Amino acid sequence: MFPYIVRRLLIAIPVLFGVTVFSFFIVNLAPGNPVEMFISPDATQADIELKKEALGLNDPIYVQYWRWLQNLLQGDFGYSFSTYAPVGEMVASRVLPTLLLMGSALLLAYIFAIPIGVISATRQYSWIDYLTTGFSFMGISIPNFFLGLGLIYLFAVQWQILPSGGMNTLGGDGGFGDTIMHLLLPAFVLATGIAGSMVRYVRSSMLEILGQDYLRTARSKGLREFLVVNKHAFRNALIPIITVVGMDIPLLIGGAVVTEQIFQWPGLGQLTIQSILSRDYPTLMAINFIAAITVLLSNLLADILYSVADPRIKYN
Amino acid sequence: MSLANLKTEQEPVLQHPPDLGLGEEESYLKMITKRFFKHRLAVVGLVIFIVITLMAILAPWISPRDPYEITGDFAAEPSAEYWLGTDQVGRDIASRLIYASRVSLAVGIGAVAIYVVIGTVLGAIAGYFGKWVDMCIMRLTDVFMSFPYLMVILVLVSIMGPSLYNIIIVLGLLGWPGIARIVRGSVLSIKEMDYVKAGITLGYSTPKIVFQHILPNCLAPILVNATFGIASAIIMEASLSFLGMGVQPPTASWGNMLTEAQSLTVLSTQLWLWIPPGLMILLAVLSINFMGDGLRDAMDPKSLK
Amino acid sequence: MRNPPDKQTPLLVVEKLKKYYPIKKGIISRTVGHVKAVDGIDFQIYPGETLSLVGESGCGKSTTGRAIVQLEPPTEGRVIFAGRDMASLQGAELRKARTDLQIIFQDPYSSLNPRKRIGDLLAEPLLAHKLVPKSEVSQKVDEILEIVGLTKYHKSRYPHEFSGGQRQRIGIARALILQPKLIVCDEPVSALDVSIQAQVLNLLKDLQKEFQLTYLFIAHGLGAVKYISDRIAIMYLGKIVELARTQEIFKSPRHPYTQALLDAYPIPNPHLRNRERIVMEGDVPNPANPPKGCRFHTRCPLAKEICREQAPDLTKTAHAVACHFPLV
Repeated sequence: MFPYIVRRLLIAIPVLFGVTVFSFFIVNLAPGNPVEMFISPDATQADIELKKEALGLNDPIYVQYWRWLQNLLQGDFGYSFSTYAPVGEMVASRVLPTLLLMGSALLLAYIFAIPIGVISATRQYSWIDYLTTGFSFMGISIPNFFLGLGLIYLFAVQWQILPSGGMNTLGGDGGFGDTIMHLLLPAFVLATGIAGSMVRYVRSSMLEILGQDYLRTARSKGLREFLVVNKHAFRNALIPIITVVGMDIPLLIGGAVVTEQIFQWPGLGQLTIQSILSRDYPTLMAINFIAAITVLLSNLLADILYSVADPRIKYN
Repeated sequence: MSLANLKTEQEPVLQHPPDLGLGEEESYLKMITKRFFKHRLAVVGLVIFIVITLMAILAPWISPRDPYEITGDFAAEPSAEYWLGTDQVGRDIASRLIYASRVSLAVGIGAVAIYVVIGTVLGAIAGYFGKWVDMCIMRLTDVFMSFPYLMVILVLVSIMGPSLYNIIIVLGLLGWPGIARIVRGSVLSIKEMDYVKAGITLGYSTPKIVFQHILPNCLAPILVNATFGIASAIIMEASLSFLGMGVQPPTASWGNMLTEAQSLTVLSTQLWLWIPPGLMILLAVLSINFMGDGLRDAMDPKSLK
Repeated sequence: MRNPPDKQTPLLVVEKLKKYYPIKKGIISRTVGHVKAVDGIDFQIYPGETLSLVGESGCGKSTTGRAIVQLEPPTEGRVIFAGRDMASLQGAELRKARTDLQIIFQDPYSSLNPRKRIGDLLAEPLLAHKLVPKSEVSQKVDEILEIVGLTKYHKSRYPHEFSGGQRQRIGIARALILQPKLIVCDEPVSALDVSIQAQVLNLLKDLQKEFQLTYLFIAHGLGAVKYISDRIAIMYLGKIVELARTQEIFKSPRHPYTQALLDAYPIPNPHLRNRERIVMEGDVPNPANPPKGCRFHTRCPLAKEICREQAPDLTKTAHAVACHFPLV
């Protein structure tokens, strides 16, 4: 097991390197230069040149990349082009809100989706099964922004029981309860797509297991149906589900961009859009880098969980 | 364990086959079609999808007005004259809704067509040739899969300039890794099949073996993946256009028709501006996902025999 | 029996053929050893004869067959077919040369492309090599189906509509349609019901007579090959241990392993049952780490000191054997 993890981590390094090279070059291919975005309109051409020189934007692109990589290895993400703040700090302040949002969305999705999927499978072709199938397809198919707008309309505008955006009430005490109220809608929106596909996976995975001979044996031993489903079937159905967990993380990151934008949630997703609009390359690079690491680690984690859940799988 | 050991067989060799009319033999395609039409949701999806496709094709004849025409009425409520009202610039929403279906279908089908080709070719090469070729392609796939998809698309689109064609190209160029992995996996298992080995000893050329013997047998997973891919490409285009980085007005896209709803006034008082396009996205995506589910069930090798 | 084979030039010469598969381990996939599937074998096949390659599963007989039809590149050694070293051929030339060397597979279920109708499946080789004018392809396919005991009515059907025996007939037709000189039959009947095995074997025998075919017949037991082979080669752990004419193998086997294989068959006549038998002990050793000396010594009841030390060579006689203490 341990050599396998080491090997996977070693493979991840060139992949990560590839991601940074690729995104650095894409980001720097952008027409229009960032200096023009934030320098005052009456600055002379000479001023702009001076600024570009100071930011190192006149160097060939590979020199810029090399400098960026060296700094990165020392834990330095550089300075934002738009706020001049150190990117590391800027990004760090956004990590927690995003983690809170994604974490609660994931939790919310799994808490509901897994039992619903199991019930749907054990009562295949019942009205409950049709209902959950319908709802899970809705969850997969509804765009985050449309669902978000709809919920804001209902909960914030019509019924006025939840805030329409932000993370804390302006001028409020910033307490935990307040944050939870702000969190509810965006977390729900982010959770729907994941929950929808999770229900489908759990259901089909359970259905496959429920048809196996060893379950018939368990039943014929006189085991209660509850035990059959939960002790014998569910544990085995869990295995294919774990892969889905690994695939959900990238989805979550993408979904967070749109959701944070709609709900004005001060996380990395919102920062992404701001940095794209202001051509803030260093910030974009940092966010891309963090996201890529998260994706790689979540894939590795899924594979490890896989081997924990399934004794037949041995890595070497 | 070969399948042969599991089957009991009678041997009617040297006998003439029972006189079978051509109708009795069942080809793979017929079998799939039959099973697809037994899937109720898939049929519902197919019907909706056909309606939307007809809407896109017949847009100039069925839309009540020119989608770009600016009438005198700004943000008018739905009425007999404007079925779904007008937007803030005074354009007829129903007409824009109909025309926008062209954008969604173009993105969905265009992007997926591009990446299915890329993914199939790369996956087939990786799987068939193996060794370092496989290693390189799979690492490239890992790189592409580790990108936060939406972020890279946002950056690329904002660099290339947001337009319909650029969205199709960007989604097409970034979407291939999933297909590549599926195709590689299928090719890896199929190339060990004896019928492929037989093709080699019969002296067929490599392209013939890959394209005529291996790839047709991994069509099912490609088709299923592509169907779901069309749905997610449509969502992606809508999201980009919604964020203002996709299809630009005055061209109508279901996504950019919702952009205005980011203002609380529009959201709370002018429901006709944002609910219809949102429902259209939902309907289109839902119908395609239904079809994908039906296709997957119909082509599931476990229930084929 | 045909002419004694040594008076002709061989159609196929296999020289010092080796096929090793690397075993990879660890963080950087280091090669830590090799599975020696085929470890240096030599034999010839003469035109018109059937040579059988017999051994337990894992002895390398199928690998040998696949190396001969160029499906597996050999690690070492040469396969010379009709005077040409197959490894020296490439591209179009190789594809052309291949058509003389065909193979019939063991599993009739995975050997036919499930998406092709039988007619297309059989027409394809003719079209790919442009052997007959397009207008005659269909007629040619009808002929070959007739020859293998099917009818032209089967042309429009798909493989899944046939039984195992019928599929194997289709596989034979496919191998036959390019009019090859040598056919490797890789356990062609072992996946079939016993009742059908004889039919297919008879078909193969008839076809050999009709088309002057040469067979390399691979089997895991001596029973199936008794009636079809002219000569038999016995393989054990990647090496040939005995090679002789069929009657000699059955009447006077010289290698203890051959004797053990023969003794494994029940004898119908009860009066003959109280013979002495060689019974092997234990399992086949791991081919990644074959025993030193004679490979069979771990299971051989007659093994002596020298067997553990030194590997015996295959003698160059007509009845070749690789044993320090051959029987009889």
